[in-house]
Amino acid sequence: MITTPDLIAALVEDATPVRRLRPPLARATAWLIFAVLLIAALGALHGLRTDLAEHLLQPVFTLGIVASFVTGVLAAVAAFLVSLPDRSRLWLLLPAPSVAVWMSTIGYGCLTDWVSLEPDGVRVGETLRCFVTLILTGLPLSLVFLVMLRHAAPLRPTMVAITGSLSVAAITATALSVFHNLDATVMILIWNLGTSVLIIALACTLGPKMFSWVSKRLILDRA
Amino acid sequence: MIQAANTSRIGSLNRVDWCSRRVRCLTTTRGSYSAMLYPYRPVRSARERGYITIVCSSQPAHVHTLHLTCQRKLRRRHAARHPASTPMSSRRPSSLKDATDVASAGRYCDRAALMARAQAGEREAYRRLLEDITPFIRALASRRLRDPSEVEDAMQDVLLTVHVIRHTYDPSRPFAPWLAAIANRRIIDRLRSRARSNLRQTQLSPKHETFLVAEPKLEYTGSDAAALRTAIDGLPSGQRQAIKLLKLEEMSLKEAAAQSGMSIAALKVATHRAVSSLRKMLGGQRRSK
Repeated sequence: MITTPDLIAALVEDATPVRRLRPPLARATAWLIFAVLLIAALGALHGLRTDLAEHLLQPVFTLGIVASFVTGVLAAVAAFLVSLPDRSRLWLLLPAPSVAVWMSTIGYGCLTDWVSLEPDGVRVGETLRCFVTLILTGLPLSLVFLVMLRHAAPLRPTMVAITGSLSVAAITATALSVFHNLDATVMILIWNLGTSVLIIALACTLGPKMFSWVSKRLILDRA
Repeated sequence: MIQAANTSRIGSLNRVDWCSRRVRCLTTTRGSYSAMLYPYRPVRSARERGYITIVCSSQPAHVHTLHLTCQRKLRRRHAARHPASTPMSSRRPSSLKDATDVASAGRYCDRAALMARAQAGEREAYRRLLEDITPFIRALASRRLRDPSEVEDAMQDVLLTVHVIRHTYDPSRPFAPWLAAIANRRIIDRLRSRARSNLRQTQLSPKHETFLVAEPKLEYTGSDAAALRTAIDGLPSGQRQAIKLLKLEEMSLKEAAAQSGMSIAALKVATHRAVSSLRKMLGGQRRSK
Protein backbone atom coordinates (compact mmCIF):
# COMPACT_ATOMS: atom_id res chain seq x y z
CA MET A 1 0.00 0.00 0.00
CA ILE A 2 1.33 3.43 -0.90
CA THR A 3 1.91 5.77 2.01
CA THR A 4 0.18 9.13 2.17
CA PRO A 5 3.39 11.18 1.73
CA ASP A 6 4.20 9.08 -1.35
CA LEU A 7 0.68 9.61 -2.67
CA ILE A 8 0.97 13.36 -2.14
CA ALA A 9 4.30 13.33 -3.95
CA ALA A 10 2.74 11.42 -6.86
CA LEU A 11 -0.24 13.77 -7.03
CA VAL A 12 2.03 16.81 -6.93
CA GLU A 13 4.10 15.30 -9.72
CA ASP A 14 0.90 14.92 -11.75
CA ALA A 15 -0.31 18.46 -11.00
CA THR A 16 -0.70 19.85 -14.48
CA PRO A 17 -2.62 23.09 -15.01
CA VAL A 18 -6.35 22.52 -15.21
CA ARG A 19 -9.06 24.63 -16.75
CA ARG A 20 -11.60 25.66 -14.17
CA LEU A 21 -15.20 24.76 -14.80
CA ARG A 22 -17.34 27.60 -15.99
CA PRO A 23 -20.10 28.74 -13.60
CA PRO A 24 -22.93 26.21 -13.42
CA LEU A 25 -25.47 28.65 -14.81
CA ALA A 26 -23.33 29.27 -17.87
CA ARG A 27 -22.94 25.54 -18.46
CA ALA A 28 -26.63 24.92 -17.97
CA THR A 29 -27.32 27.66 -20.50
CA ALA A 30 -24.97 26.03 -22.98
CA TRP A 31 -26.73 22.68 -22.56
CA LEU A 32 -30.15 24.32 -22.94
CA ILE A 33 -29.03 26.10 -26.10
CA PHE A 34 -27.96 22.72 -27.45
CA ALA A 35 -31.36 21.27 -26.49
CA VAL A 36 -33.24 24.10 -28.18
CA LEU A 37 -31.12 23.77 -31.32
CA LEU A 38 -31.74 20.03 -31.35
CA ILE A 39 -35.49 20.49 -31.01
CA ALA A 40 -35.42 23.18 -33.70
CA ALA A 41 -33.54 20.84 -36.03
CA LEU A 42 -36.02 18.06 -35.37
CA GLY A 43 -38.87 20.51 -35.94
CA ALA A 44 -37.36 21.54 -39.26
CA LEU A 45 -37.03 17.91 -40.32
CA HIS A 46 -40.25 16.57 -38.93
CA GLY A 47 -42.51 19.58 -38.96
CA LEU A 48 -44.80 20.76 -36.19
CA ARG A 49 -48.02 18.98 -35.43
CA THR A 50 -50.83 19.99 -37.73
CA ASP A 51 -53.17 21.18 -34.98
CA LEU A 52 -50.59 23.06 -32.92
CA ALA A 53 -52.12 26.50 -33.43
CA GLU A 54 -55.50 25.19 -32.48
CA HIS A 55 -54.15 23.51 -29.34
CA LEU A 56 -52.14 26.50 -28.26
CA LEU A 57 -55.41 28.29 -27.72
CA GLN A 58 -56.26 25.78 -25.00
CA PRO A 59 -54.87 27.02 -21.67
CA VAL A 60 -54.22 23.52 -20.29
CA PHE A 61 -52.20 22.48 -23.34
CA THR A 62 -50.17 25.69 -23.33
CA LEU A 63 -49.63 25.50 -19.59
CA GLY A 64 -48.49 21.87 -19.93
CA ILE A 65 -45.94 22.70 -22.62
CA VAL A 66 -44.64 25.71 -20.72
CA ALA A 67 -44.48 23.74 -17.48
CA SER A 68 -42.59 20.85 -19.06
CA PHE A 69 -40.13 23.22 -20.72
CA VAL A 70 -39.62 25.17 -17.50
CA THR A 71 -39.12 21.85 -15.70
CA GLY A 72 -36.43 20.99 -18.24
CA VAL A 73 -34.71 24.33 -17.73
CA LEU A 74 -34.88 24.29 -13.93
CA ALA A 75 -33.88 20.64 -13.65
CA ALA A 76 -30.86 21.31 -15.88
CA VAL A 77 -29.83 24.24 -13.69
CA ALA A 78 -30.31 22.12 -10.57
CA ALA A 79 -28.27 19.26 -12.03
CA PHE A 80 -25.35 21.55 -12.90
CA LEU A 81 -25.47 23.15 -9.46
CA VAL A 82 -25.76 19.91 -7.50
CA SER A 83 -22.95 18.32 -9.48
CA LEU A 84 -20.54 20.65 -7.67
CA PRO A 85 -19.35 19.49 -4.24
CA ASP A 86 -19.95 22.70 -2.34
CA ARG A 87 -23.50 23.42 -3.47
CA SER A 88 -26.48 22.63 -1.32
CA ARG A 89 -28.61 19.62 -2.09
CA LEU A 90 -31.66 21.83 -1.63
CA TRP A 91 -31.14 22.91 -5.23
CA LEU A 92 -32.70 19.57 -6.11
CA LEU A 93 -36.03 21.07 -5.14
CA LEU A 94 -35.71 23.84 -7.73
CA PRO A 95 -37.78 22.09 -10.43
CA ALA A 96 -40.36 20.78 -7.95
CA PRO A 97 -43.04 23.50 -8.49
CA SER A 98 -42.91 23.26 -12.27
CA VAL A 99 -42.97 19.44 -12.06
CA ALA A 100 -46.13 19.73 -9.99
CA VAL A 101 -47.75 22.04 -12.56
CA TRP A 102 -46.64 19.80 -15.42
CA MET A 103 -47.99 16.65 -13.80
CA SER A 104 -51.23 18.37 -12.90
CA THR A 105 -51.79 19.41 -16.52
CA ILE A 106 -51.16 15.84 -17.64
CA GLY A 107 -53.69 14.67 -15.09
CA TYR A 108 -56.19 17.31 -16.15
CA GLY A 109 -55.68 16.42 -19.80
CA CYS A 110 -56.30 12.79 -19.01
CA LEU A 111 -59.48 13.66 -17.21
CA THR A 112 -60.86 15.73 -20.06
CA ASP A 113 -59.59 13.52 -22.87
CA TRP A 114 -60.91 10.42 -21.21
CA VAL A 115 -64.39 11.50 -22.22
CA SER A 116 -63.53 12.42 -25.78
CA LEU A 117 -61.29 9.42 -26.48
CA GLU A 118 -61.97 8.05 -29.94
CA PRO A 119 -60.97 4.61 -31.17
CA ASP A 120 -59.03 6.02 -34.13
CA GLY A 121 -57.59 8.96 -32.19
CA VAL A 122 -54.01 7.90 -32.74
CA ARG A 123 -52.73 6.33 -35.88
CA VAL A 124 -50.38 3.34 -35.62
CA GLY A 125 -47.66 5.07 -37.60
CA GLU A 126 -47.62 7.96 -35.15
CA THR A 127 -46.36 5.72 -32.38
CA LEU A 128 -43.25 4.82 -34.31
CA ARG A 129 -42.57 8.44 -35.21
CA CYS A 130 -43.04 9.39 -31.56
CA PHE A 131 -40.48 6.78 -30.60
CA VAL A 132 -38.00 8.09 -33.16
CA THR A 133 -38.46 11.62 -31.83
CA LEU A 134 -38.00 10.33 -28.32
CA ILE A 135 -34.71 8.66 -29.22
CA LEU A 136 -33.43 11.55 -31.33
CA THR A 137 -34.15 14.04 -28.56
CA GLY A 138 -33.39 12.06 -25.44
CA LEU A 139 -30.22 10.26 -26.47
CA PRO A 140 -28.07 13.23 -27.58
CA LEU A 141 -29.20 15.32 -24.64
CA SER A 142 -28.38 12.50 -22.22
CA LEU A 143 -24.96 11.92 -23.78
CA VAL A 144 -24.04 15.60 -23.61
CA PHE A 145 -25.23 15.65 -20.01
CA LEU A 146 -23.02 12.68 -19.19
CA VAL A 147 -19.95 14.35 -20.62
CA MET A 148 -20.65 17.77 -19.10
CA LEU A 149 -21.37 16.38 -15.64
CA ARG A 150 -18.75 13.63 -15.53
CA HIS A 151 -17.03 15.25 -12.55
CA ALA A 152 -20.07 14.32 -10.45
CA ALA A 153 -19.09 10.64 -10.67
CA PRO A 154 -17.34 10.43 -7.29
CA LEU A 155 -19.78 12.73 -5.50
CA ARG A 156 -23.51 12.55 -6.10
CA PRO A 157 -23.96 10.47 -9.25
CA THR A 158 -27.47 9.22 -8.53
CA MET A 159 -28.94 12.58 -7.62
CA VAL A 160 -27.31 14.31 -10.54
CA ALA A 161 -28.41 11.54 -12.90
CA ILE A 162 -32.00 11.75 -11.70
CA THR A 163 -32.17 15.52 -11.97
CA GLY A 164 -30.48 15.52 -15.34
CA SER A 165 -32.78 12.83 -16.66
CA LEU A 166 -35.76 14.77 -15.38
CA SER A 167 -34.55 17.67 -17.48
CA VAL A 168 -34.06 15.42 -20.51
CA ALA A 169 -37.48 13.85 -19.98
CA ALA A 170 -39.21 17.21 -19.65
CA ILE A 171 -37.60 18.62 -22.77
CA THR A 172 -38.35 15.40 -24.67
CA ALA A 173 -41.97 15.62 -23.54
CA THR A 174 -42.09 19.22 -24.75
CA ALA A 175 -40.77 18.14 -28.14
CA LEU A 176 -43.26 15.29 -28.32
CA SER A 177 -46.14 17.59 -27.45
CA VAL A 178 -45.13 20.08 -30.14
CA PHE A 179 -44.41 17.57 -32.89
CA HIS A 180 -46.99 14.83 -32.50
CA ASN A 181 -50.75 14.58 -32.33
CA LEU A 182 -51.10 13.00 -28.92
CA ASP A 183 -54.56 13.59 -27.65
CA ALA A 184 -55.60 10.20 -26.42
CA THR A 185 -55.35 9.69 -22.71
CA VAL A 186 -53.30 6.53 -22.82
CA MET A 187 -50.81 7.99 -25.25
CA ILE A 188 -50.39 11.11 -23.18
CA LEU A 189 -49.70 9.01 -20.15
CA ILE A 190 -47.29 6.76 -21.99
CA TRP A 191 -45.35 9.44 -23.81
CA ASN A 192 -45.29 12.12 -21.15
CA LEU A 193 -45.34 10.34 -17.84
CA GLY A 194 -44.18 6.94 -19.03
CA THR A 195 -41.11 8.16 -20.87
CA SER A 196 -40.19 10.43 -17.99
CA VAL A 197 -40.43 7.59 -15.51
CA LEU A 198 -38.53 5.32 -17.89
CA ILE A 199 -35.70 7.79 -18.41
CA ILE A 200 -35.46 8.53 -14.69
CA ALA A 201 -35.53 4.82 -13.84
CA LEU A 202 -32.74 4.20 -16.34
CA ALA A 203 -30.81 7.07 -14.79
CA CYS A 204 -31.26 5.56 -11.33
CA THR A 205 -29.93 2.19 -12.35
CA LEU A 206 -27.37 3.05 -14.99
CA GLY A 207 -26.58 6.70 -14.14
CA PRO A 208 -23.83 6.16 -11.57
CA LYS A 209 -22.16 3.46 -13.67
CA MET A 210 -22.36 5.57 -16.83
CA PHE A 211 -20.97 8.61 -15.03
CA SER A 212 -18.14 6.58 -13.66
CA TRP A 213 -17.40 5.01 -17.06
CA VAL A 214 -17.44 8.32 -18.94
CA SER A 215 -15.39 9.96 -16.21
CA LYS A 216 -12.74 7.24 -16.26
CA ARG A 217 -12.50 7.25 -20.06
CA LEU A 218 -12.07 10.99 -20.25
CA ILE A 219 -9.61 11.12 -17.37
CA LEU A 220 -7.54 8.32 -18.91
CA ASP A 221 -7.63 10.06 -22.28
CA ARG A 222 -6.48 13.27 -20.67
CA ALA A 223 -3.67 11.49 -18.87
CA MET B 1 -19.36 32.18 25.02
CA ILE B 2 -17.50 28.91 25.31
CA GLN B 3 -18.40 26.47 28.01
CA ALA B 4 -15.97 23.64 28.18
CA ALA B 5 -14.22 21.61 30.77
CA ASN B 6 -11.21 20.93 28.63
CA THR B 7 -10.28 24.43 27.60
CA SER B 8 -7.13 24.11 29.64
CA ARG B 9 -5.84 21.47 27.23
CA ILE B 10 -6.49 23.70 24.27
CA GLY B 11 -5.46 26.90 25.90
CA SER B 12 -7.28 30.18 25.90
CA LEU B 13 -8.67 31.48 22.67
CA ASN B 14 -6.78 34.24 20.94
CA ARG B 15 -8.40 34.54 17.57
CA VAL B 16 -11.13 33.08 15.39
CA ASP B 17 -10.90 33.02 11.61
CA TRP B 18 -14.24 32.54 9.95
CA CYS B 19 -13.17 30.14 7.27
CA SER B 20 -16.63 29.25 6.15
CA ARG B 21 -20.08 28.77 7.52
CA ARG B 22 -19.04 25.42 8.95
CA VAL B 23 -15.37 25.62 9.74
CA ARG B 24 -13.51 28.03 11.97
CA CYS B 25 -9.81 28.36 12.45
CA LEU B 26 -8.99 29.04 16.05
CA THR B 27 -5.70 30.27 17.37
CA THR B 28 -5.16 29.60 21.04
CA THR B 29 -2.28 29.98 23.40
CA ARG B 30 -1.36 26.35 22.68
CA GLY B 31 -1.47 26.34 18.91
CA SER B 32 -3.83 26.55 15.99
CA TYR B 33 -6.94 24.44 15.61
CA SER B 34 -9.55 23.92 12.99
CA ALA B 35 -13.01 23.88 14.44
CA MET B 36 -16.04 22.42 12.80
CA LEU B 37 -19.45 23.64 13.71
CA TYR B 38 -21.67 20.74 14.51
CA PRO B 39 -24.35 20.25 13.37
CA TYR B 40 -23.37 21.59 9.97
CA ARG B 41 -25.36 24.74 9.97
CA PRO B 42 -24.80 28.22 11.19
CA VAL B 43 -26.32 29.15 14.52
CA ARG B 44 -28.67 31.93 13.62
CA SER B 45 -30.43 32.90 16.79
CA ALA B 46 -29.31 33.38 20.36
CA ARG B 47 -31.63 30.63 21.49
CA GLU B 48 -29.99 27.98 19.33
CA ARG B 49 -27.35 25.84 20.86
CA GLY B 50 -24.62 23.82 19.25
CA TYR B 51 -21.13 22.69 19.79
CA ILE B 52 -17.98 22.84 17.78
CA THR B 53 -15.48 20.09 17.33
CA ILE B 54 -11.93 21.25 17.64
CA VAL B 55 -9.23 19.33 15.85
CA CYS B 56 -5.65 20.24 16.52
CA SER B 57 -3.94 20.86 13.20
CA SER B 58 -0.61 19.44 14.27
CA GLN B 59 -2.03 16.53 16.28
CA PRO B 60 -5.21 15.25 14.61
CA ALA B 61 -5.74 12.68 17.31
CA HIS B 62 -6.47 15.47 19.78
CA VAL B 63 -10.13 16.12 19.22
CA HIS B 64 -11.94 18.38 21.63
CA THR B 65 -15.54 19.28 21.73
CA LEU B 66 -16.52 22.68 22.93
CA HIS B 67 -20.07 23.68 23.59
CA LEU B 68 -21.01 27.06 22.43
CA THR B 69 -24.16 28.80 23.32
CA CYS B 70 -24.36 31.35 20.62
CA GLN B 71 -22.30 31.96 17.57
CA ARG B 72 -23.11 35.64 17.58
CA LYS B 73 -21.95 36.03 21.16
CA LEU B 74 -18.71 34.29 20.28
CA ARG B 75 -18.21 36.52 17.29
CA ARG B 76 -19.08 39.63 19.25
CA ARG B 77 -16.74 38.72 22.09
CA HIS B 78 -13.81 38.14 19.76
CA ALA B 79 -14.60 41.21 17.76
CA ALA B 80 -14.39 43.16 21.00
CA ARG B 81 -11.14 41.52 22.05
CA HIS B 82 -9.46 41.59 18.66
CA PRO B 83 -10.98 44.41 16.64
CA ALA B 84 -8.26 44.23 14.01
CA SER B 85 -8.44 40.55 13.20
CA THR B 86 -12.10 39.69 13.10
CA PRO B 87 -13.47 41.96 10.39
CA MET B 88 -10.71 41.02 7.98
CA SER B 89 -10.90 37.29 8.67
CA SER B 90 -14.67 37.15 8.48
CA ARG B 91 -14.73 38.80 5.10
CA ARG B 92 -15.33 36.38 2.27
CA PRO B 93 -13.21 37.15 -0.77
CA SER B 94 -15.27 38.03 -3.77
CA SER B 95 -12.79 37.06 -6.43
CA LEU B 96 -9.59 35.20 -7.07
CA LYS B 97 -7.65 38.45 -6.75
CA ASP B 98 -9.10 38.97 -3.31
CA ALA B 99 -8.33 35.42 -2.35
CA THR B 100 -4.72 35.91 -3.31
CA ASP B 101 -4.36 39.36 -1.83
CA VAL B 102 -5.94 38.67 1.51
CA ALA B 103 -3.52 35.92 2.35
CA SER B 104 -3.36 37.01 5.93
CA ALA B 105 -7.06 36.57 6.45
CA GLY B 106 -6.78 33.11 7.88
CA ARG B 107 -6.44 29.60 6.66
CA TYR B 108 -9.52 29.79 4.46
CA CYS B 109 -7.92 32.37 2.24
CA ASP B 110 -4.62 30.53 2.37
CA ARG B 111 -6.16 27.33 1.15
CA ALA B 112 -8.29 29.05 -1.47
CA ALA B 113 -5.25 30.86 -2.78
CA LEU B 114 -3.17 27.68 -2.68
CA MET B 115 -5.81 25.81 -4.61
CA ALA B 116 -6.06 28.60 -7.16
CA ARG B 117 -2.32 28.38 -7.66
CA ALA B 118 -2.48 24.59 -7.80
CA GLN B 119 -5.09 24.83 -10.53
CA ALA B 120 -2.63 26.96 -12.44
CA GLY B 121 -0.06 24.16 -12.15
CA GLU B 122 2.10 25.40 -9.25
CA ARG B 123 3.35 22.21 -7.69
CA GLU B 124 4.78 23.67 -4.51
CA ALA B 125 1.46 25.34 -3.70
CA TYR B 126 -0.31 22.08 -4.40
CA ARG B 127 2.04 20.17 -2.11
CA ARG B 128 1.49 22.68 0.69
CA LEU B 129 -2.25 22.48 0.22
CA LEU B 130 -2.37 18.67 0.27
CA GLU B 131 -0.15 18.50 3.34
CA ASP B 132 -2.26 21.16 5.01
CA ILE B 133 -5.60 19.44 4.43
CA THR B 134 -4.41 15.94 5.34
CA PRO B 135 -4.96 16.32 9.13
CA PHE B 136 -8.41 17.74 8.53
CA ILE B 137 -9.39 14.81 6.30
CA ARG B 138 -7.87 12.34 8.75
CA ALA B 139 -9.90 13.85 11.56
CA LEU B 140 -13.08 13.62 9.50
CA ALA B 141 -12.38 10.00 8.63
CA SER B 142 -11.48 9.11 12.22
CA ARG B 143 -14.89 10.21 13.37
CA ARG B 144 -16.60 7.57 11.23
CA LEU B 145 -14.03 4.83 10.77
CA ARG B 146 -12.33 2.94 13.56
CA ASP B 147 -9.66 0.91 11.82
CA PRO B 148 -6.56 3.10 11.38
CA SER B 149 -5.70 1.43 8.06
CA GLU B 150 -9.20 2.15 6.82
CA VAL B 151 -8.86 5.77 7.94
CA GLU B 152 -5.67 5.97 5.93
CA ASP B 153 -7.34 4.39 2.90
CA ALA B 154 -10.27 6.80 3.15
CA MET B 155 -7.90 9.73 3.42
CA GLN B 156 -6.00 8.66 0.32
CA ASP B 157 -9.28 8.16 -1.49
CA VAL B 158 -10.29 11.73 -0.63
CA LEU B 159 -6.92 13.07 -1.75
CA LEU B 160 -7.27 11.25 -5.07
CA THR B 161 -10.78 12.61 -5.56
CA VAL B 162 -9.61 16.12 -4.75
CA HIS B 163 -6.90 15.69 -7.35
CA VAL B 164 -9.25 14.39 -10.04
CA ILE B 165 -11.92 17.07 -9.61
CA ARG B 166 -9.75 19.97 -8.52
CA HIS B 167 -10.94 21.88 -11.57
CA THR B 168 -14.43 22.09 -10.02
CA TYR B 169 -13.25 24.39 -7.25
CA ASP B 170 -14.15 28.04 -7.69
CA PRO B 171 -11.64 30.21 -5.78
CA SER B 172 -14.26 32.87 -5.19
CA ARG B 173 -16.08 30.43 -2.93
CA PRO B 174 -14.98 29.01 0.46
CA PHE B 175 -12.57 26.12 0.25
CA ALA B 176 -13.54 24.21 3.39
CA PRO B 177 -17.14 23.31 2.38
CA TRP B 178 -15.85 22.11 -1.00
CA LEU B 179 -13.30 19.87 0.69
CA ALA B 180 -15.64 18.73 3.47
CA ALA B 181 -18.32 17.75 0.94
CA ILE B 182 -15.84 15.64 -1.03
CA ALA B 183 -14.43 14.04 2.11
CA ASN B 184 -17.82 13.26 3.61
CA ARG B 185 -19.05 11.83 0.33
CA ARG B 186 -16.09 9.53 -0.09
CA ILE B 187 -16.17 8.41 3.54
CA ILE B 188 -19.91 7.68 3.33
CA ASP B 189 -19.37 5.77 0.08
CA ARG B 190 -16.70 3.71 1.84
CA LEU B 191 -19.01 2.97 4.76
CA ARG B 192 -21.78 1.92 2.40
CA SER B 193 -19.53 -0.31 0.37
CA ARG B 194 -18.22 -1.90 3.57
CA ALA B 195 -21.78 -2.48 4.78
CA ARG B 196 -22.67 -4.08 1.43
CA SER B 197 -19.65 -6.36 1.52
CA ASN B 198 -20.41 -7.30 5.13
CA LEU B 199 -23.89 -8.32 4.08
CA ARG B 200 -22.46 -10.62 1.43
CA GLN B 201 -20.00 -12.25 3.82
CA THR B 202 -20.72 -15.03 6.32
CA GLN B 203 -18.56 -15.53 9.37
CA LEU B 204 -17.07 -19.03 9.41
CA SER B 205 -17.22 -21.04 12.58
CA PRO B 206 -14.98 -24.10 13.31
CA LYS B 207 -17.90 -26.30 12.27
CA HIS B 208 -17.65 -24.94 8.72
CA GLU B 209 -14.02 -26.00 8.38
CA THR B 210 -13.25 -28.95 6.16
CA PHE B 211 -9.83 -30.51 5.88
CA LEU B 212 -8.22 -32.41 3.07
CA VAL B 213 -5.56 -33.84 5.34
CA ALA B 214 -5.55 -35.07 8.88
CA GLU B 215 -2.98 -32.62 10.33
CA PRO B 216 -5.55 -30.38 12.00
CA LYS B 217 -6.75 -33.39 13.96
CA LEU B 218 -3.37 -33.95 15.56
CA GLU B 219 -4.71 -32.89 18.91
CA TYR B 220 -6.92 -35.96 18.90
CA THR B 221 -3.96 -38.09 17.84
CA GLY B 222 -2.00 -36.68 20.73
CA SER B 223 -4.67 -37.55 23.24
CA ASP B 224 -4.91 -41.09 21.77
CA ALA B 225 -1.15 -41.53 22.15
CA ALA B 226 -1.30 -40.48 25.77
CA ALA B 227 -4.12 -42.93 26.42
CA LEU B 228 -2.17 -45.68 24.68
CA ARG B 229 0.90 -45.00 26.75
CA THR B 230 -1.13 -45.14 29.94
CA ALA B 231 -2.74 -48.40 28.82
CA ILE B 232 0.64 -49.95 28.02
CA ASP B 233 1.92 -48.96 31.45
CA GLY B 234 -1.03 -50.80 32.95
CA LEU B 235 -0.15 -54.10 31.23
CA PRO B 236 1.57 -56.98 33.08
CA SER B 237 5.34 -56.73 32.86
CA GLY B 238 5.80 -59.53 30.27
CA GLN B 239 3.22 -58.13 27.92
CA ARG B 240 4.47 -54.58 28.43
CA GLN B 241 8.01 -55.61 27.58
CA ALA B 242 6.87 -57.54 24.47
CA ILE B 243 4.87 -54.57 23.17
CA LYS B 244 7.68 -52.12 23.82
CA LEU B 245 10.31 -54.19 22.09
CA LEU B 246 8.30 -55.44 19.13
CA LYS B 247 5.86 -52.58 18.44
CA LEU B 248 7.37 -49.41 19.86
CA GLU B 249 11.05 -50.10 19.24
CA GLU B 250 10.20 -52.19 16.16
CA MET B 251 12.74 -54.94 16.91
CA SER B 252 12.65 -58.32 15.19
CA LEU B 253 11.55 -61.38 17.15
CA LYS B 254 15.16 -62.60 17.40
CA GLU B 255 16.46 -59.29 18.70
CA ALA B 256 13.62 -59.00 21.19
CA ALA B 257 14.16 -62.59 22.36
CA ALA B 258 17.89 -61.92 22.77
CA GLN B 259 17.27 -58.74 24.75
CA SER B 260 14.43 -59.93 26.95
CA GLY B 261 15.56 -63.52 27.46
CA MET B 262 12.10 -64.78 26.49
CA SER B 263 11.56 -67.38 23.80
CA ILE B 264 10.13 -66.33 20.45
CA ALA B 265 6.90 -68.24 21.10
CA ALA B 266 6.48 -66.58 24.50
CA LEU B 267 7.04 -63.18 22.91
CA LYS B 268 4.40 -63.89 20.28
CA VAL B 269 1.88 -65.00 22.92
CA ALA B 270 2.66 -62.02 25.15
CA THR B 271 2.28 -59.61 22.22
CA HIS B 272 -1.00 -61.15 21.17
CA ARG B 273 -2.38 -60.92 24.70
CA ALA B 274 -1.10 -57.39 25.12
CA VAL B 275 -2.78 -56.22 21.92
CA SER B 276 -6.04 -57.88 22.98
CA SER B 277 -5.82 -56.24 26.40
CA LEU B 278 -5.03 -52.85 24.89
CA ARG B 279 -7.92 -53.18 22.45
CA LYS B 280 -10.26 -53.90 25.30
CA MET B 281 -8.92 -51.09 27.45
CA LEU B 282 -8.92 -48.45 24.70
CA GLY B 283 -12.19 -49.65 23.21
CA GLY B 284 -13.78 -49.39 26.62
CA GLN B 285 -12.43 -45.90 27.05
CA ARG B 286 -13.83 -44.77 23.67
CA ARG B 287 -17.22 -46.24 24.43
CA SER B 288 -17.22 -44.58 27.82
CA LYS B 289 -16.44 -41.23 26.05
